[in-house]
Amino acid sequence: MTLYDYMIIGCSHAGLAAADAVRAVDPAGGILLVDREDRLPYSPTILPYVLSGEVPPGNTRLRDENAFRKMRAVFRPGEEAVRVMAGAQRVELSSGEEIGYGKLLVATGARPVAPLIQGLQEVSYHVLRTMGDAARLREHMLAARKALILGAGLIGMHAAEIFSASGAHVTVVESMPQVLPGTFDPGAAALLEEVFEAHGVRLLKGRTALSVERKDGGLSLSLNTGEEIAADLLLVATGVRPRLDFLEGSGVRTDVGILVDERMRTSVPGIWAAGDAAQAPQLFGTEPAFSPTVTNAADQGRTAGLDMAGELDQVYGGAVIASTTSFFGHRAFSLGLGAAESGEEGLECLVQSGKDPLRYGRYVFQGNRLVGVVGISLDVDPGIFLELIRRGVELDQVKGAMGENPAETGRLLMARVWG
Amino acid sequence: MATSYPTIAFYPDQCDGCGKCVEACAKASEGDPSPEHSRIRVARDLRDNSYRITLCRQCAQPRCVSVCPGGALSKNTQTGVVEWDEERCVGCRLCTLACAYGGILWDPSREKVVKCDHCGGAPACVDACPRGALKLSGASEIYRRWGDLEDLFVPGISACLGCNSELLVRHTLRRVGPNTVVATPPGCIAGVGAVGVNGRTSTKTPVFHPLLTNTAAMLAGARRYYNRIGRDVTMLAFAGDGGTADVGFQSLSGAAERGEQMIYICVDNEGYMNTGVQRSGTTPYGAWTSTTPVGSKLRGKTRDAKPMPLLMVMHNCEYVATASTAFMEDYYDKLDKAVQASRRGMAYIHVFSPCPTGWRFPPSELINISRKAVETNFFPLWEFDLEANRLRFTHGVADPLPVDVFLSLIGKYRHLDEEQKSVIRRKTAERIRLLEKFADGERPDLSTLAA
Repeated sequence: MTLYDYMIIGCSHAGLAAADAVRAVDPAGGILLVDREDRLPYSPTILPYVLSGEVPPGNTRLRDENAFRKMRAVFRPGEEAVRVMAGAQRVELSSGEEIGYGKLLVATGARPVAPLIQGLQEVSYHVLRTMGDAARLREHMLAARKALILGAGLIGMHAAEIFSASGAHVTVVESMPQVLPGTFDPGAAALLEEVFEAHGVRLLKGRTALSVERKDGGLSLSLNTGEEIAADLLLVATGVRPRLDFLEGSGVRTDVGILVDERMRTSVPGIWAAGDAAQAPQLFGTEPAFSPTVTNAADQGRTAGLDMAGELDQVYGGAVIASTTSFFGHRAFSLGLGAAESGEEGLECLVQSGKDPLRYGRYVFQGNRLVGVVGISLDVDPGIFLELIRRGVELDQVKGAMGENPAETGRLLMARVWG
Repeated sequence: MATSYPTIAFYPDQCDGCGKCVEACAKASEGDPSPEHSRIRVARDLRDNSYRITLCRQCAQPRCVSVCPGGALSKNTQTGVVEWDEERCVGCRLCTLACAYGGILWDPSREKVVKCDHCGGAPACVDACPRGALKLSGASEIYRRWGDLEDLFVPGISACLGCNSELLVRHTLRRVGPNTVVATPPGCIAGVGAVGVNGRTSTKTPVFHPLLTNTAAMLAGARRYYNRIGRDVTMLAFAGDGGTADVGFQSLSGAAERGEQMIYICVDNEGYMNTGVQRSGTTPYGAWTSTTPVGSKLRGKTRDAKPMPLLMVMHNCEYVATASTAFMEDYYDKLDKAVQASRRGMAYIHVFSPCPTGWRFPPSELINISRKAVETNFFPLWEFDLEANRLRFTHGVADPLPVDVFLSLIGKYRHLDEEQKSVIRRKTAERIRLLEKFADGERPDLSTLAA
């Protein structure tokens, strides 16, 4: 049986960040990365761009074999973990092979989950989480005339833009009263909705899908309002959840995701988790929560890797929303509690909005600290604001300047505080 | 093994916010000086009217790389630059969320992200800055070239805080290497335990403790024996100025004249520091020491120092050089040459070695003082090669800082009156004139001087 000092299951942002962090501290320890897909590692975030045709499926990877060789890590694609035997410190792979590990990181990500809709399993529908999904969806999209998307989250809305560009008629069904709920505040969401609607995308908000059936060569979705939507392509983009059955019997405590502390340690010594598979401490809020974003995944992976390699001073500051999206030539981002309502827990907001050209900035403060920002075509450095939010920097006099000259104010604070 | 890279350093005290760096960057990278293309930005701090910049830090563990979904960003481990591949970029701007420094920016007119790439090694912003607020620091080169060498001195030798000698001997032996016999006579270096303590050596090479009078003679003997048994081993002396210019001079002079094979390093802290800061033959004019005190009758040393390095040139040594630990690349280059020259005869290096305890300055000022000594021409950096019969400056002497800048940093010069300072200024200028006469083009063939 082969034994590795470090074994990492799952080779996307979290897994790779962890491997890099391990190698930065431990130049000699053996590192094995396995991934269930038989290809070079890639990010699910690239898939909308594969769908649009902008990125050829064969030409995207987070890392190539050369890079693994240079860092002296073994990468074994096409290997799925089916069982973790924590006591014996072994992982069983789908091939039957068992790998022994010194320390284990679970970074297996999450998979799409579909809402309970009567008849859904009898129709053909798409999800967008793997390269295979993207290839199938693209092929279907090029032939489709009427596209229907369930879920107006980041994936759903990006797909809506792409379907629209391909010439299809697009309908998005969302149970919440706005698009991108939780990510954008109602004000920003309203502006986004206007742009989508102006491009012919039909947004049906505040509605739930009850049942779906095959009809007239395509399908028909029935909503709780009684409306029926006909389509020849259905994309379900209502969210993801980690699939953790391979951890059964391991003793690793899970909730929605694998529960971890601020060092990404699970309840079992010697096992860490990071990324979309994990349920980690939050920057805002006392309970660990499921918060699947790329920035969280990368930071958690790094924290886990450092801790695994013995660099014990690092703790995770907490997961925080950091999302970016573009739509019809505009760009938007959301950081921290940018979407939170003012009045909640002493939050106050400063909003600046304009239509021609479209521009939106929403700064959320808690006392003297910035806790969230939402921007549409806002010329600022989002990463600097995210760091201000993470560090809870006391703004003092510059709080007022934030609205007037956000970019320069941000840069000055960066230079003064951590730059 | 870790490595290090050149880096763009910013000096806010020099910046007046002119923005020429921004223009130059935009022009160099996008052919258009419009600031939205620039990878470097300037922000003004109204509190104190100072300026700060935003620039990619070429992080060692770049966050932007870890979030890019297209694998478009990567750290080039040769140059240290975090590179951006336009082909792989999809414009998602996750990198701009991940970077806490504003180092990667969205250019709205080009509709892509832009970040500093050091312009391939010659950053346009650095060239454009008229006030020297931006510099490309190449100090990493030393680490890349020599970082893998082993420090052959053990930890735990008990030098004073800020001691130049400890810095010097560790670097020297790293470069000269393990195939060496080290000799260090009575003085600070032996005094801190460099020879050894309790029956164990402090070096991972053979080391011995000659008398203050005979370092060069003993090394000469050791070398002759190694030669006789067919082994090519480098002889290396770390001798203080007392053991070199005063009581050690006789044996040194004889060994040099005979062409004995060794590297002889004079660690010149301008006095007998180990025994209580007494004056030596290399103590400069005006300096306070415990035997040239400052009071009503005397105001420091009345005689000038012996010009040891020039005296060694006159001995027809294979190689002679002056060095300062504030110029490490220069020193390592000179060590390279010394090692080669020591195969043929004597290589003599005279190192300016400020002593915080004996000269009275804060330990944190050591390198600054070593640098100012060179930059004021008080201690010029030069080398002499016998084969080429050439003396040349290895650091420019054309535009020195006033020597008072150097003197004012050091406690042993605090008492100097205006007359003494003007003597020092004159002597400093004369020293350069004399060296210039020896330098390339003017130097006479020294062998003609022998009777």
